[in-house]
Amino acid sequence: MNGKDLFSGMSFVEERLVNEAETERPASGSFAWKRWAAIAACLCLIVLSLYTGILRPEQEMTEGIAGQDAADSMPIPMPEGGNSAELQQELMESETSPDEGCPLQEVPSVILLVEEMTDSGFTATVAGVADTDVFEIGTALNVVMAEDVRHETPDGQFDVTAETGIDYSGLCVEVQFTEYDEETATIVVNSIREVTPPAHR
Amino acid sequence: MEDKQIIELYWQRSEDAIRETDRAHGQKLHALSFRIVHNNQDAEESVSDTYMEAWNQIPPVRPNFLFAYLAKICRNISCSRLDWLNAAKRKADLVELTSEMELCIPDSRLEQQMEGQEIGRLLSRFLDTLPKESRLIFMRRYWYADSIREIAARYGMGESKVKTQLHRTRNKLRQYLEKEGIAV
Repeated sequence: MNGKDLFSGMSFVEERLVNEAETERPASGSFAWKRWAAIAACLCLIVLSLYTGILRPEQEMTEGIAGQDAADSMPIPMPEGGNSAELQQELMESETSPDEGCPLQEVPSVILLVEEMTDSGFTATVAGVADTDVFEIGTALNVVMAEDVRHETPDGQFDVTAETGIDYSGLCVEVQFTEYDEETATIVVNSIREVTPPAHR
Repeated sequence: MEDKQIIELYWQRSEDAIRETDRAHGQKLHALSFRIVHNNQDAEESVSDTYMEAWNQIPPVRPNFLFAYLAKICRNISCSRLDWLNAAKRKADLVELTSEMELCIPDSRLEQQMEGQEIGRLLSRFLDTLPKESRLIFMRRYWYADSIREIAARYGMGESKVKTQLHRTRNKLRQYLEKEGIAV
């Protein structure tokens, strides 16, 4: 037997071996496979880093803002890293925006007992002080509603019936005022919320 | 069309079987034959003879791996054609005569084929002892007649690794055949 016989004899090896050589690849000898696996692993690490470093804090901030309407008093999750300063600033602006319906902490408020409605607002007497000592209880005031006055229901939600006019006569309300004219005893309010009388609080 | 469907066409004696076989495996069979005979016309004739042989054998044969089955026939025919081309230069009329004379011999290829089948059994047993990677490289080189570069590209490895693997496998084969009492 010579080399030519061997080469010809190869034609008679079993078909399964012929098929294997045509259809299969070495189990562990593929350098290309390892190279692509390494590249894929690096990409996964990059994506994970981006997610934890940037996307996740933004997501938490968004969730914090969205949940604020439902629970104003709940603390808003703040990011611990990333571009948090800028986002925190945006959050603070959002928290103090009148459009969002949040209380304006820098604006003083007072509790009034409404006597009767007028064209521009109503007359009332001071029934209690919330966060200001400008008035004494029992002081009579003329209340003028600002054009963009916000009417709130007792639970703090925006009152959708405000556009048709609300009769506060005889009710106890907490108002936030932006102007006070001592001579005419007039205040301009931008927020009105019905509350229970102070004696029962 | 899948191989199983093509085999069914053979069993139904449908002539579409050869057309579908050529469509599915014709190019690979031609490439295999061309690597052996190094001639386009001979390769085409080898592939045509392969289809004819498959048509005659199926049925009753039902191949498990259609391409491997066809490739075995094609390789065998191509090797035989190579022998014929490399024989002493004969005149065309003599060739025709000897071909006609061969028709008078009951099975002129029996002895050679028996020998080839015995070698094939030995090689199959030897190949089963090899690691898969070595076996695949050896088969691609000495069965499919792939070049070193083609094997390296096919398996994503360096050419030097392919050469090293082939060298080791050849040494193992020599030892194996010596152990079996066959002188090479």
